[in-house]
Amino acid sequence: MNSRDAHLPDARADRAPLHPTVLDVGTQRVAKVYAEAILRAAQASNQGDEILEEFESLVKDVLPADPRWEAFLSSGVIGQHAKAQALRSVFSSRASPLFVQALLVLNDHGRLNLLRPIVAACRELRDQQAGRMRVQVRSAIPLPDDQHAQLLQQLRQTFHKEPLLEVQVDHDLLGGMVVQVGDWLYDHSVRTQLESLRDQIIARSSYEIQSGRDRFCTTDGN
Amino acid sequence: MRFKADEIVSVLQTEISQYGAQLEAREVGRVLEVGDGIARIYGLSGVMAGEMVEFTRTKVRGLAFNLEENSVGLIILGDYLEIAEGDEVRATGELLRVPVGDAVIGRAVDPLGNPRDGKGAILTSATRPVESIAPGVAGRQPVNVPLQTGIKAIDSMTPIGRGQRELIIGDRKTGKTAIAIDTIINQRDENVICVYVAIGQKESTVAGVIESLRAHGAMDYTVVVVASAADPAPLQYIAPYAGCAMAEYYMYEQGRDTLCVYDDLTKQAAAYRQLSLLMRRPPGREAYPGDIFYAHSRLLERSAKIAERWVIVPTDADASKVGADWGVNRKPDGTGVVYVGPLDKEHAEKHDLPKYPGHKLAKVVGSGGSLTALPIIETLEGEVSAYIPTNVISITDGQIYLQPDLFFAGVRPAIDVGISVSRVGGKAQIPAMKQIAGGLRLDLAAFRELEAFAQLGTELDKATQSQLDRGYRMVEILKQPQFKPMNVVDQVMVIYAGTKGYLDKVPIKQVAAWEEQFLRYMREQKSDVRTTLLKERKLTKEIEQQLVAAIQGFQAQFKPATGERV
Repeated sequence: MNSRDAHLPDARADRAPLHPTVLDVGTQRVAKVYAEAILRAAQASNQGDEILEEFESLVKDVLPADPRWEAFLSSGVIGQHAKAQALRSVFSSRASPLFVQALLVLNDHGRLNLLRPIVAACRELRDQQAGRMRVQVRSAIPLPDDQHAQLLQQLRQTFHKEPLLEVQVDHDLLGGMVVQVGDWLYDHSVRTQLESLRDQIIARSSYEIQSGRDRFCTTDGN
Repeated sequence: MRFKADEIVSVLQTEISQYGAQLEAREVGRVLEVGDGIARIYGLSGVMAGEMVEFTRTKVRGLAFNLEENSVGLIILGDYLEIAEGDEVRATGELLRVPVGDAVIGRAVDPLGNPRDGKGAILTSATRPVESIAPGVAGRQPVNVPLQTGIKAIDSMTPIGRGQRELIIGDRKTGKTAIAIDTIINQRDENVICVYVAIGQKESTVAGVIESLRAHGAMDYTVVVVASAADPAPLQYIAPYAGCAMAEYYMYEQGRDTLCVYDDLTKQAAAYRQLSLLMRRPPGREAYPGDIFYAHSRLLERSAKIAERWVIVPTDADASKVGADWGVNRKPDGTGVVYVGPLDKEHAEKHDLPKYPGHKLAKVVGSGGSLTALPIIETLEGEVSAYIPTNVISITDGQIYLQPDLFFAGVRPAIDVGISVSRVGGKAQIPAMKQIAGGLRLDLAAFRELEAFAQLGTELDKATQSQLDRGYRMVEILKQPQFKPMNVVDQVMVIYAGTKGYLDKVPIKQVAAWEEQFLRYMREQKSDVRTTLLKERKLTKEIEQQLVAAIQGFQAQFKPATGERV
C-alpha cells in the first residue's frame, strides 16, 4: 500500500495503518536497494511495468485475501527452504519466472517481511523512470469523461509528466475538485471557498467592530 | 444599546461582493503522530526550518522544528489536544511574527501577540519576526549611558548600562522579580520602553506583577508577555524571543531605549528541554539539548546599543526629521557622509564640521536605540555551577547575586555586593556616582574582612571598631524597600553622607529614618543643591561644599524616629 493513499478517507475507514513505514528510515533504505535491483533485472528484458504489476497484485490482491499468507512469508520460525518450496509451488506456474526468482532472492536474504515497502519503492522508482506522476483527485461528483481528459491534458502541460489519476468522489467538497500532486494541494472546492469566505467575513467584521465600536450600535432607546 | 443592523449588513455585503474565488494552492502534509506540544508530519517536503505552518482544520499554528529524511517535527503553538492523526498541515512560507508597536504597550499578551488581559483585540498592522539576527559589530557602539534601576545597591556597585545584559540570579524567594519590577517602575521618567516576559510562572503571580506595575503607573510604557505554567511548552519556549521582538521594534525603528526582563530563563530552558526530548533530539548534560547554550546566547545577543549615526546638516535643519542622506558633505559616489559611532562623531566634530560654517552635527532619526536585558535565573540551594546558571553567567555582562541568608537577615534587596559584578562597570554611571562608589566599595570590602573578627568577640582597637561601625551603616544605607526606586541624585547624596562618615554617630536603627528625613530636607529646604547636582551630574568642588554644608545643617534637625524600622 502506498503511504500516500493511506491518508485518503477510505483508507481511514478500514482502519488500515495510516503510515506503515514512514518513520522507519532504515527499512526504506533497504527496500530501495532491492527495488532498484529488481527493476534493473526486469528492464534488461524490458519487463519493468510487468513485474511491477505482478508485485502490486501480490500486495493488493493475494496478501489481503488471507492474512496467514503474510504471516507465513514474514515469519522467522518457518525455514527458508520451506518458504522457497511454497513460493515455487504457488507462483511458478502462475507468474513470470523473473517474479518468482525475485521472490526467491528476497527469501534467501530473509527480506520477505519487507515486501510492502519494496513494492512501494518499486512503484516510485518506476514512475520516476517512466516520467509518470501519481495525482490524487477528489471531486464532488464523478468526473465526466471530457473533464477527465481536460484535467489530464492540463496536468500534462503544467508538470511535463504523464499523470496517473486516482480519482475519488467526496461529496463533502460540495462542488469543484481538489488535486494533489506530491505535497502540493490545488484546492478549488466550494467547501474551502466557503470556509475562507467565512474567515474573511469574521476577520473583517471584528476589525470593523474593534476599530469603530459606535458605528454598529447606538445608545438610542436606552 | 441597540445594534445598527444596516451597518453590519453593509460590511458583510462589501465583503461578499469583493470576494473573488480563486484556486488555492498550498503545500500540505499529514499528521502522523501528535504528543505534548509536538507533532510529526508526513509530507511538507519543501518546508524550511523555523517556518510557520498551520493546521488547516483547527487553525492552530506551529513551527517546523526538526526536518528529517521523511518526516517533519513541529512544535505546536496552541491547543494540541484538538489535533488528530491524519489532519492536514499547510506550509505558510512565513516566519512566526508578533504584533509590535504602540498597540501592545500597556497590554498583557501571549507569545503570539493575542491579548490575555480581556481588553479586546490588538489593532495594529506592524509586526516583527520572533527570531531575528542580532546586530553585528559594525552596527553597535559601546555601552556608556546608564540605565538607572533606582536601587542604591545596584546603581552604585553594579551599575547597568543601556544595551547591557545583566543577570539576576538567586534562589527562590530572594527578591529577583522585585528588582526587575522596581527597575521597570523607575523608568517612568527615563523614556524607556519596558517588556516583562513571564515564563512558566503561576498566573496569580503574573496578575500580581501586572497589578503592581499598574498601581505605580508603569503599564503606560510596559508590555507584559505571559507564557504561564499552564501554557504548553512551545509557548514558554518562544516567549522571550517574542518579547525581545516587541522591544526591538522600538530599538531599531524608533531609536528608543528599551528594557526587556526575562523572568525566568530557567523555566524557558526546562520548556525547551521538554520539547527537544519529545522530538528525540539527543540529551546532553542534565538532559538539556546540545543547543541550549545557543538558545540563550542568540536571545541575549539581541540586546545591543545600536551605533548612533550622525550627519552634518545646516543649523536650521529640523532635528526631528534628519535622514541618513541629509549630509551636506558628499562621498565620491554622491551619497551623503554618515558618521557612525562615537569615534566617527569625534572626528566629525574636530575635522569635518569646521569646514562647514553655519552647519551642525545632527543625529539620524531612529539611530542609537538600545535594548537592555535583565534575564533572571533561579538557582537551587545557591548552586550557581549548575548547567543553565553557568551558561547564562558566561553570556551576560555581569550578574547580581541574591542570597537567601541576607534576605532573611533583613538586608533587602538581598544583593551580595561582594560577588555581584557588572562588566561594563563605571562607564555606565553618572560621574557623581562614579566619584563616590569607590569609597563605598572600599568601606564594604574592609567591613566584610573585619566582620568575621567581630563575631569572635575579640577586643577591637578604635580604628577597627570605627571601620566596623561604618560598614554596618553602609549595609543599612543599601537597604531599600520594594516599589521605592530612588532618583540617582538622591542615591548620590545619601551614599556621600555615608562614606564621608556623617552617619557614624547615628544609631544603626535610625539610619533609615535619617535617610528619609535627609532626603526630604534636601528636596524641600536645599532644593538648589539638589537641582544643581541633577543638572551637572557630577560632584564639582563647589557642589561638594554645598552638599557638606547642607548635611551639617541637617544633622541638627534630625529627629530620631520612635518606632522600629518596618
